[in-house]
Amino acid sequence: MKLARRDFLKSSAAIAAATAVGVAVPESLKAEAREAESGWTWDKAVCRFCGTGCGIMIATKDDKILAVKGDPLAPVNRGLNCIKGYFNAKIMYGADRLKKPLLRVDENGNFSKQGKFKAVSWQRAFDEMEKHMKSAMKELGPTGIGIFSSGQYTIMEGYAASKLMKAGFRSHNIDPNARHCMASAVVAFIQAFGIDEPAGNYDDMEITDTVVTWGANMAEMHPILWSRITENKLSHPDRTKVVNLSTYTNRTSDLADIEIIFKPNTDLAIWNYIAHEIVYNQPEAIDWDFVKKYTVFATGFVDIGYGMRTPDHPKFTDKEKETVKHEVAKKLTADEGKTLAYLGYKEGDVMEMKHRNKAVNHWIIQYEEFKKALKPYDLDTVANIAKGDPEESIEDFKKKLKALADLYIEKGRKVCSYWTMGFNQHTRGSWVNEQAYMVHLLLGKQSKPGDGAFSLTGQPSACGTAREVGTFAHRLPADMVVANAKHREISEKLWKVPAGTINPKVGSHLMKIHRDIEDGKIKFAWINVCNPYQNTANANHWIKAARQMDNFIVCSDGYPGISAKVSDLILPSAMIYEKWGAYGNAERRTQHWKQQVTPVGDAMPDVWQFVELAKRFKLKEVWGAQKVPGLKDGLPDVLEGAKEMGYSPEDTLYDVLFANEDAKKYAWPDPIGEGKINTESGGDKRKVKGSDGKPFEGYGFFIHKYIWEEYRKFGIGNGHDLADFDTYHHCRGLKWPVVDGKETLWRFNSEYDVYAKKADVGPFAFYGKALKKMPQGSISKPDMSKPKVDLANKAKIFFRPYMEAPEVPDKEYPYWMCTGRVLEHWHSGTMTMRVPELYRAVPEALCYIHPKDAADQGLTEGDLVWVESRRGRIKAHIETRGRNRVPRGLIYLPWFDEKVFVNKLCLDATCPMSKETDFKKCAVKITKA
Amino acid sequence: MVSRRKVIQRVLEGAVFVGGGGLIWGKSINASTKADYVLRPPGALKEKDFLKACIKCGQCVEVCPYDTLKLAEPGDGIANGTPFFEPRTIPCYLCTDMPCTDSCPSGALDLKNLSKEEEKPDILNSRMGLAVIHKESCLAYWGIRCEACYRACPLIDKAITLDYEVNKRTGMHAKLLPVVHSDVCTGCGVCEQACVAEKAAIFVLPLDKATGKVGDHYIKGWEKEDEKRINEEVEKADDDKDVKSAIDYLNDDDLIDD
Amino acid sequence: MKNNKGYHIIILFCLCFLAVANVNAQSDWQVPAEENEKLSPFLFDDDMVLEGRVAYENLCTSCHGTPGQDDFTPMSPPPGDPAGEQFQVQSDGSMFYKIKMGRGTMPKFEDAFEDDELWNIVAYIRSFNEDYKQELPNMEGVVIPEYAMSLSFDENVDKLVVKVFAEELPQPEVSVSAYVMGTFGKHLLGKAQTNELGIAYVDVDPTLPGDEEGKVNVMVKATKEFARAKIEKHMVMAKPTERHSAIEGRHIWSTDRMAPIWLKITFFVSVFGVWFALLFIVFGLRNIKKAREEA
Repeated sequence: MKLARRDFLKSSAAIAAATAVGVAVPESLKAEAREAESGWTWDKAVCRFCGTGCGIMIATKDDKILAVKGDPLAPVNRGLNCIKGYFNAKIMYGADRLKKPLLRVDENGNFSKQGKFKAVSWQRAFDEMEKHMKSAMKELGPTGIGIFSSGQYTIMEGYAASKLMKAGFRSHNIDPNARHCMASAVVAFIQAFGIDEPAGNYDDMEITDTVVTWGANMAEMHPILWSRITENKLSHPDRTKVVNLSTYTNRTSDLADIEIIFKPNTDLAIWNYIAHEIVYNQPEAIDWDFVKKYTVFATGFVDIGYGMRTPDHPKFTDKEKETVKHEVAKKLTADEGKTLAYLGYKEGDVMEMKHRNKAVNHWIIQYEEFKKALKPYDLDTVANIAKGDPEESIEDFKKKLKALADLYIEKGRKVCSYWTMGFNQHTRGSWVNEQAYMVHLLLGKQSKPGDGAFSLTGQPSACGTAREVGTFAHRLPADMVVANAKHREISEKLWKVPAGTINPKVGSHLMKIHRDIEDGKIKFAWINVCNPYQNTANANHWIKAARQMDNFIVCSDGYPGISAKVSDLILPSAMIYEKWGAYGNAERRTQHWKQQVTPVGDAMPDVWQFVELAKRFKLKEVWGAQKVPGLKDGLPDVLEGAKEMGYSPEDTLYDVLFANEDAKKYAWPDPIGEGKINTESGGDKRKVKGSDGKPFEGYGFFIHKYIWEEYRKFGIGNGHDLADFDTYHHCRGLKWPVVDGKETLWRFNSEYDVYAKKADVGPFAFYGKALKKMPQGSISKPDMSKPKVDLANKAKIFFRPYMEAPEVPDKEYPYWMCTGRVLEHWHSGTMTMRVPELYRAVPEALCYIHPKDAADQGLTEGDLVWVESRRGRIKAHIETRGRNRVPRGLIYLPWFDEKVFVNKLCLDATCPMSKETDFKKCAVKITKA
Repeated sequence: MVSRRKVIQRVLEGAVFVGGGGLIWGKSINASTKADYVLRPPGALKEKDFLKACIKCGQCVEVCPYDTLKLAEPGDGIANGTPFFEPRTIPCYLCTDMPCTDSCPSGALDLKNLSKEEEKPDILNSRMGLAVIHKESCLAYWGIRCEACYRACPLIDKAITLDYEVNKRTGMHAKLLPVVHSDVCTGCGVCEQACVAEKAAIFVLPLDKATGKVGDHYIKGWEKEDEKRINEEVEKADDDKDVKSAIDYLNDDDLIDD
Repeated sequence: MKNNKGYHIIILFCLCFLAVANVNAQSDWQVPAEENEKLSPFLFDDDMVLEGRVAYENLCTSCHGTPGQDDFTPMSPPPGDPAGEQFQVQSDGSMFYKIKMGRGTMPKFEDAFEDDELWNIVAYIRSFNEDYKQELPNMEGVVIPEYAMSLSFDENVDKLVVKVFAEELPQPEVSVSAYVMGTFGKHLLGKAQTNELGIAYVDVDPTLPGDEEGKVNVMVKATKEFARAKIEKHMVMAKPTERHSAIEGRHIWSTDRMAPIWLKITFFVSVFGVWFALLFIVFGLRNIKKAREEA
């Protein structure tokens, strides 16, 4: 009897359900694709969206995606999704999906920046790219080109782009949108622990007693993780406590026992209050065994500016200069007078930003100085500095702060702190991240099940790709850095390129790539899997630079967003399930998937785009001597070294970097890919006319596996171990380091982490190697006469003071503007705004404003207003009743909507250490439109 | 000179036409008011009175800034020319200045219906209908993180709130379940529009279709307030109305079969 | 008869009384001493006279008529001719005060005009007096800065940026008024005060129409105490608009271009047809005539 499709679905769903609850899985139900009698197959994949990294399964038939379900075997979500993930089947089929390369041409078909877009062939597209890249490199050297890389690249794409850029073109002007997202967290990890990424994992959410969310609207932004936290609270309603710290009331506040609305930037003061409470009032809470054995105290400079350009830059308007002048000197406010008194400052002093270029410098201090610096942060002072809701009484606020501190301090109470953009997108983002570690380390509540500070990642693979592969201006794979000669040597060996190939000078970070384009220092830029012209603050500058200056911007995307509109050449790119790939989520879980369907139209995967571009460059064109601004003697000629390695100057970068002997060892077809398409390796049924004008039939080798296996070598043995390619296709991802086939649950804890155990210094070992030889000094400056201290296996407890944001509300611009997201839409909305249901649920970005503020200005619910900052003005409808309830004096605008272009208003001030933009604070005014 | 026969013939024809036309007209009126349900603008009178009062001028439709309201056309199944709205297409966005109610010249929409006692009219007092959730098609009840209706609701946390429930299947997640509160819900329908299901799992029904009523002879013992429902006008049971049927029954000698 | 005469006398008496009272009332308008002493900080030049004339003609002519022509409106009390003795004998300060504060039927112009605009009107009135010599305030020790102004447009925020400097130093707290000059006068964009950097920002409506390139004629005045300056610039600040003539495409000589082909064919066919018919008739008649003659 032929099983009807419905019955089959029901039975397979029942089996899946049984599996999730822990019923023994029959041998027949493994993680491979299953052939059903009806002809469609399920295969595992990951959700396209946030850093939670839910597992999904995709049903395909006849090269079409029929349906999607949550993966019941995925430990993260066990078959559940949020409504963005629910629509994973639809995101690739929006009405205006890009299908052909598009070039701006004039009437004669020649490229012209003022021309209109017309469809061209891939060959023509690559011809133009080659021409403009070579011309930019000829004029400006390797620093004349840039790549906007992404935390949504697959790991293979990130690696290919990074290798091509750093080893091929010898340029480090490759930086991801993760710079806008996680850079502050990265700096804090490296400074505090010497190695990137969180110690804990998602299981902490079930185990912990206390969840404190700082500037993280988990209810909307990490939906499945929030449902895990909610379950914890429901199951232990009296024991589990949830605290939400935010600058406005959001959906996370619904479950919270305590909601603390604080003034923007004062998270710095609140952490120091908690530390003050520990150190002065409850010092018995300090885990001295832990602190003495595993930590040192440290601090850094404070006069480091705000990551803006200096006011004399010719492109600033006069209005902007009102804020930018703080980059060189700022008058200290009353609050800063109190918190910076330990350095001899007082209210009204003009702080000159002398250490703008030494922002990352830090040194070891003694506990006594750490304690003294915390003195001003008593409850009264901090409550007055930090209270964010003018309508809340100071007494209530004080009670809440005290309750928060007590929760952290309570002996035996497990605490997990979670944060995302509120902390990272902050002009002192690195500081506030470090303060989270400060408290957890003081209390000894770190790297233990249910105890720890956990930096939540926003993007699906900011960890897996951008950070671990190192697609940053200053990084190499596996936490290595460009500036370290030894690291360059290791990379050159693994990439099999001659010594001296890799540029020793750090490249331009994301903000700087935009600024360099505006200064004419970069004349070729390539956008991959991101939307930098919508996602970058102070957008008017960058859009004008791209459109009006002499440069060539290329955009690889699936949909026509603002960045595509601004570009000169658009390349239609395959989306997630149209290519083999891997993502690494926020808990260090690396998950792989296979290609499910053929890409639409002529869209090609990004790996193919990089590899095809590599074919256009011969070694002699890129590996000769090069001038690099700021690098004495420039880059050396490595062609001799290349010859010694067996390369010829006529070889292309394709031959050397991608189609070399090692690569060819990985044959395609490969048993792991049986029954699956692989566009790059074997071509696909469309036989797209490729960069040489001929139908593309595949490289003939398994390029993804080659990339993975080569990439793995960077991490093995130094705490970044990844498993082999095939293993990931048999399981629901593994949390690295994966040693002897076992994943690591809690890092730096000898019970769970092989590396900590190997260090053999006790129950913990912070074995990260970076920045572990540090100078000593006083609270105000380092003392270079003293010897450097070896901090092997230790972490750093930082003292960081409270400072104000560079632009605060005043009479002319009376509101704080905070920006963010909504659950229904992802990032710049290029995918989710094209799903009709999600668009209908939230069709436009609203300006959330307090009803009394609206009434005072004569505005009613739903009115159209101008929101204006010193940098631009946009129109939006106001909302006084919605999902976010802001305090008086603050407005909130999500940025997913092209039509409400929030980044025209935002200030491009960054954390001077991490270079991450502060999107959460600037001053605006509202007028009726 | 018209013959008498012709006159009588004509009169009969006329009567048939008029009568037939009247029957058809009557049937069409019935058909047009036989709609499944209809949602009226805020401040509307009860449907029977509304139909009498509405002069089909279209002012409310003109003045609505969101183009929510439309006038019924023949075939809609709603009284021709009267204003109504379909939330799935365009819901009511609860303008705080109630331009539609304010603009009605005939009192079919009345600001008085939006005022409680001596207070000023408030759009939040409107009761255009009641939102109802069909659990089986609601993603949130599957355990999926949706609640788009909850976040879209202008009276978030009052008209729609979230109930939390442990997801027994996974054992480690919770379900966030939207629940509608009929004492607050205005029936605006923003929730119905936002619902991401193919056919909205939350939808607005007219109040009389979406509400029940409990008899006033039983009072909640645990709620003192409930005593307000006591109805003192109870029918007396001690009259002689139907003694006769009891006696007839008793006298009916049919117990033993012959 | 006797009664009539009595009435006449009473009416005449009342009228005389009124006239006297009016005259009295008029002469009684005293101005406080310090206001009387007030002097214009600005030299009455042609610009001021012209500005004053425009203001006067818009607002004062209705009652005071044209100065020098004695055509003021007969009101009670009579407004008087500003060029006449009654006005010119007063001090500048007195005139300034009276225009500013008004009295009775004379409106109060304090809110309608800034101080410098009031002085414009005084300048205009004085221009009718050939013997008038302007008394200038004691300028000893007072340094009047010479302003250098520059204009630019911040398109990010739709604001006109006015910079006021004197000898390279920024001038704060200077009042600026910005106008767009049109064919029939000037349109006030807005007024602002310079901040401590000497910069004032005036909001510009982004829908303001300009020429094809979006350029407009901008005029900005700056005043502070005794100093004043003016700058004009033809600059991009508005929406580029293509101005179409109202009769474009409708000239008789352009209808040919606009006419559809079927119309042209129908027209020509009809015209020729009618002519053909006429000629046919004419020839027919001729033939008939010929036939008749032959017959």
